[in-house]
Amino acid sequence: MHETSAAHGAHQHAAPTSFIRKHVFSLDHKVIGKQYYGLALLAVFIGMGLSWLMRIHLGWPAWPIPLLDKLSAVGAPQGVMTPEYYLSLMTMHGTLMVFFVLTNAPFAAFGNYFLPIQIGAEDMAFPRFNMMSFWTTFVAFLFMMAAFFVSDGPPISGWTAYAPLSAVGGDAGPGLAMGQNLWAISIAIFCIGSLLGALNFIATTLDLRTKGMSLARMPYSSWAWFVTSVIALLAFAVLLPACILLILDRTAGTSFFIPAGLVLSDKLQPHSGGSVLLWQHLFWFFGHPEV
Amino acid sequence: MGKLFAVAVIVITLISVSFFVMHTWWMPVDISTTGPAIDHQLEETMTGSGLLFLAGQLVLGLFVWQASNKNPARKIKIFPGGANPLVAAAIILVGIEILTLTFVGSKVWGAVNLAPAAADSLHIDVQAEQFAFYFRYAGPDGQFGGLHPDKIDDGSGNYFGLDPANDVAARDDVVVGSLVVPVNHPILLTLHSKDVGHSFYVPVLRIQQDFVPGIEIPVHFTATQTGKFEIVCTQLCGLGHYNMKAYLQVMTESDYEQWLKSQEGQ
Repeated sequence: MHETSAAHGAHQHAAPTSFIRKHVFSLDHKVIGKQYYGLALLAVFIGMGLSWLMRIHLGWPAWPIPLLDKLSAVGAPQGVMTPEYYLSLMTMHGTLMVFFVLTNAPFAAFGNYFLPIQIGAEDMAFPRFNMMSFWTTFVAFLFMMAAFFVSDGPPISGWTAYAPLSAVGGDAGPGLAMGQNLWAISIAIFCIGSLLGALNFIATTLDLRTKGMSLARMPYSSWAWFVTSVIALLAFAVLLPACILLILDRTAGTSFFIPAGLVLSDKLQPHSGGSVLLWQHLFWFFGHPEV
Repeated sequence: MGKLFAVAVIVITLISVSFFVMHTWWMPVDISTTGPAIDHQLEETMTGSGLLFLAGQLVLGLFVWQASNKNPARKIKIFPGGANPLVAAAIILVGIEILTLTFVGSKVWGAVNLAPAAADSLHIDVQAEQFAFYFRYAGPDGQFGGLHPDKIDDGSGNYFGLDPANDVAARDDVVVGSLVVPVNHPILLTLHSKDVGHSFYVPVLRIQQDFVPGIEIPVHFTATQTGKFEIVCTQLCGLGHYNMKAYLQVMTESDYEQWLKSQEGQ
C-alpha cells in the first residue's frame, strides 16, 4: 500500500488525534464526504419542509399554519402566508434543492467518499483544498439561511434570479433588498467551493489512479464524477463572475444586467446600458449542465 | 415479487398512455391561423416520444418478468457483441429522434415567429408592468406618440410615458387594459416592459413570448374566432405575479370599429 501511494505521489498524512481535526476540520476524504452528505441531508429536510408549507398553503389558503408567524411575522401574519412569502419559500426551496442537495449529495458527498476507494488512491489529491471546499460550501449555506432572518425576508425572484427583478434592489419587491444580496453572496461562495472540489476531483482522477487502473478500466461512477467535475469547472467558473456582476449591480451602481428607462415603484431606475439577456445566458451556461 | 413488479410497470405505462390517447387533459381550443401548424408539430412530437416511451416501458416490463424466472438452468442470452453495440444503437436512435424533432420543430417555430407580419397588420403596442398589461392603439392619426420612461406615472394613467403636451402624435393614442382586436385581421404587437421580465401567454393563440426589459419584441397573429380569452403572465415578476392577467377580446370588424370610436371619444 505504502509503495503504491509513494509511486503515485499520494499525500499521506498522520492520523489526527484531536476531536476537531478528526471530525470537524478533517483532511480525510471519507469524513469530508460524510460532512457533505450531512449538509445535503440538512438542506433536503429544510427544502422539503418548505415544500410542505407551500403545499399546505395551496390546499388550505386561509388556514393558519402553527408557528409559521414565529419564522416570519411579516411574511405570515397569524400563520397565513402572504403571496410574496410563498414566492420567498419557493425561491429558497429551489435554491436549497438545486445547489445544496443536487450538487452536494451525488457529487461532492458520494464522490469524496468513494472516488479514492474506487480508483485505488489513498485520499483526494489535495486534502486541504478538500476541507476548504466543504467549509466554503458550509459558509455559503449559512449566508443562504441568513436570508430567512433579515427584515424583508428571503428573495422572491426564484432560483434562477432573473434580472432585473434580482438586480434593481428593494424597489422590485419584498425580499429583493438584503435577502437577494445574501442569496447572491451565498451562491458566489458556493461557486468557489464547487470549483475547488471540481479541481480536486479532476486531479485525483488523472493523477492518483492505482497501478493498472487505466481510464478505460475506471468504474462507471468514477467516470461520472470525472465528467461532472469537468463540466462543473466550466459551469461554476461562469456563474461565479455572473454573481459578482449581480452583486455589483445591486451594491455598486453598475448596470451589467439593467437596461435604461426602467420604472419600478414609480422611480426611474438610475441605470443604463445593461442587458437582461446577459444574466440569462451566463446563468443558463451554468444552469443547463447543472440540472 | 418480480412478476408483480413487471405487471405494475406495464399497467402504469398503459394507464399513462391512455390519458394521452383519449386526450383526457388536452390543449385548449385554437383560434389562430398559425396554431394548427404548432398543434400538428406537438402531436407529432407526442406520438414519436410516446411510442418510444411505450416500447421502452414494455421491454422493461418484459425483461423484469423474464429475470424473475429463477430457473438456474435457464441459459442467459447475451446480446451479440456485448453491451457496447446496444448502447451505441440506443444513442444513435435517440440522437436521430431528438435532432429530427429539433429541425422539424424549429422550422415550424421559424415559420410562425420569424416570418414578417402582414403589411396590412393592425399595430398595437403592449406595455407590461408589475402586475398588469396595457394596450395602446395609434388613434385617428395612425401614429404612435414617443415613449418617455421619465413621464410614466401610473397614478395619472400614463402607463406608457406619453408626452401629449409636446408630442402631437401622442394626444390621440388610446390606452386600455384589454387587448381588443377584429376577427380575421392580422395583428402586430410590439411588447415593451416597464420594469422587469414578464410573459405574454395566450393559450388559445398558441403564443408565449417573454417581455424582455430594454428590448422591443414583435409578435403577430390573426384570430379566427370571436370571444373573450385569457392573457396571463408566465414569467415570475414579483409579489403579484400570480394575479397578473388581462383579456383578449376578439370582435367582428364592425363591433371593433364601434368600440374603437367609443374609446377615441373618451
